[in-house]
Amino acid sequence: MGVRRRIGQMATQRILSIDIGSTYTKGAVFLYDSATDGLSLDGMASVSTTCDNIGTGFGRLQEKLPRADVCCYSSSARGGLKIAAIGLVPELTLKTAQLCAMSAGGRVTGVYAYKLTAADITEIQNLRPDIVLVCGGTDGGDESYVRHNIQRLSDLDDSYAFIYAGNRALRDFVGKTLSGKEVSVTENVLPELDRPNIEPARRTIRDVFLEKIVHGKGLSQVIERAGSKPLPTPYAVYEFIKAFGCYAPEWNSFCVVDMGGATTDVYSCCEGAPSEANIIYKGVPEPTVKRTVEGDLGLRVSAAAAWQAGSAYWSRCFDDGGAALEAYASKLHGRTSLLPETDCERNYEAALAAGCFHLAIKRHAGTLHRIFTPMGEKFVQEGKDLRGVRQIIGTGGYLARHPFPSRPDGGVFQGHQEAIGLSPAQAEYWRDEQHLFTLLANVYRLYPRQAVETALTVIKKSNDHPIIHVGGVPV
Amino acid sequence: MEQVSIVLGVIGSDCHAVGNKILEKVFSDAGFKVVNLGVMVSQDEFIHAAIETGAKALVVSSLYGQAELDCPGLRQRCQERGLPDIILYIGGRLVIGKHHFKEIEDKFLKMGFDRVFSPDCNLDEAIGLLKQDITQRWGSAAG
Repeated sequence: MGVRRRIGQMATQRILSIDIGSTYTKGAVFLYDSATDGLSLDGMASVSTTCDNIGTGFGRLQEKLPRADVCCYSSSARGGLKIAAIGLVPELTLKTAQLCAMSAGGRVTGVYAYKLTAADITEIQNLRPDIVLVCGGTDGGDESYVRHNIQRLSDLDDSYAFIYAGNRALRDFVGKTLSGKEVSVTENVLPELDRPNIEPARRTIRDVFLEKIVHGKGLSQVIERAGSKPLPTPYAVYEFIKAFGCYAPEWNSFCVVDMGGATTDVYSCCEGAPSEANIIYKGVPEPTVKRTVEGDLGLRVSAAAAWQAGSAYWSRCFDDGGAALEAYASKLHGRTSLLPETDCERNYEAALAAGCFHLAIKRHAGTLHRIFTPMGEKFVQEGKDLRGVRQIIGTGGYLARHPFPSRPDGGVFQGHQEAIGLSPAQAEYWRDEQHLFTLLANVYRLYPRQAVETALTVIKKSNDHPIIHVGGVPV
Repeated sequence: MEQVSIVLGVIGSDCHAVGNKILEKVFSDAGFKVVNLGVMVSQDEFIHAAIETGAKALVVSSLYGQAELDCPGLRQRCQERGLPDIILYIGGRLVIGKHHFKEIEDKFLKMGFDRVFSPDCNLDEAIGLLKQDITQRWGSAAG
């Protein structure tokens, strides 16, 4: 906001927005005009991200684009923000810690429940997460497990950034035991069992990223050039999505699917609470804006893993039981810049995309279990009910450029037979054709309302698939 | 003094919510930090909540007569999960049909519960007993 105040009376302002990805660095310049109080696109470009020096790609992109007055950018380069999540009970503090890490734009590289072992410490050393998020115990709750874990973590060297968001009673102990290390202490992610509180830890993750991690991600030169620090890309997108409802009331129940080469990210923005009186919610309540990252669902680096994840489904879709698709997926795994050349390969690509899309949403959504009680039939809901979601926005390389990847067999993914998936039932499909969604998420920091309005003009409702079904039974 | 946490819930597929709310109010007023899991609570949910909150007791309710099916193994599961000393209370309409309360009590004591309460028990007495049991086993009382 400070920047806006400084420009005060300026009639127009050019904002350069850049998203540094692992493979491509994309950028666009938006023109803000105070006469119309709106944004317009003034140019866009993309270059490949140079692995050895991220600054080179950033510089080349700046040269390709019109000169701008201000720059805001985000990064998911060098594997994004890697977080190890430590909790106590898997379904309680550990789950909340994972949700918190993903909502902060992180990629959860390891999860650890109950007591950490020596082998866990070795694994953390091998995975080298950027942040170790330590949770466990509600406020006034268990201390013994967390004490044990903190003691174990003190064996790690000083290069790790720790965030403690567990039982409040142990803050002093954490400070003493981990003294000499980078430790940030924040509010408990689960102060009470039915009241998750992920926002303070989310902000702390962002702050630690800005203060300590950006330089390690090869961004020092970029920071110098841009004069400001980047946010993790998914953090910027999360904040952007959270604001949609404020500026566009009809967007209060929607999802965004961002499918890339390595991961498929799903964001949902809706309450997702039980919709009927005979549904009883179980487990820790989930936040209105939720992000999940599927590390095994992607169209390039993760193609082989994606085939594995959906193999049962794909084997039903193809006459050869999916063997050719499997071969194609393994080929992609090693050569990430490969593009499909034949119609057949394009079909495989579409089938892989369909699988990633539907599986990612299915995993993001909650489930219903039917049970029979002396009081009649009841349902137990775990996770969010997305059946009422009205719009789904597809973004990321594939989804931006191609029509909706519908399932070749028209069927749904079968999970546990006794569970009913709560994926969206009937939603409008919107496509981010120009791939501007993440770039506008950066501009949101300076021009919130205008960025949301612009996003809603650049995304287009799909003509070929105006309404899509993602497996949920209509409410 | 730090409040003592107890976990409260209606076990199994039982949806009787009114008594659960009354118990939450009464135990809270008596100075306990009540972690109320509501209705239809599984054995594992009781145990998870107790581990995470460091609770000293599980207060289990059942009003639909199926507690005989829902409760066996709870004590053993607690032991397995590192809560060998946790206090287990149960109360409500625990079995179907007419039985002497003594029979029912014996059955559930044998199952590993520390105390068993009939549907018409006096809650003040139950609270007094819980405080006494916590002091004896853990050396501190609620409130």
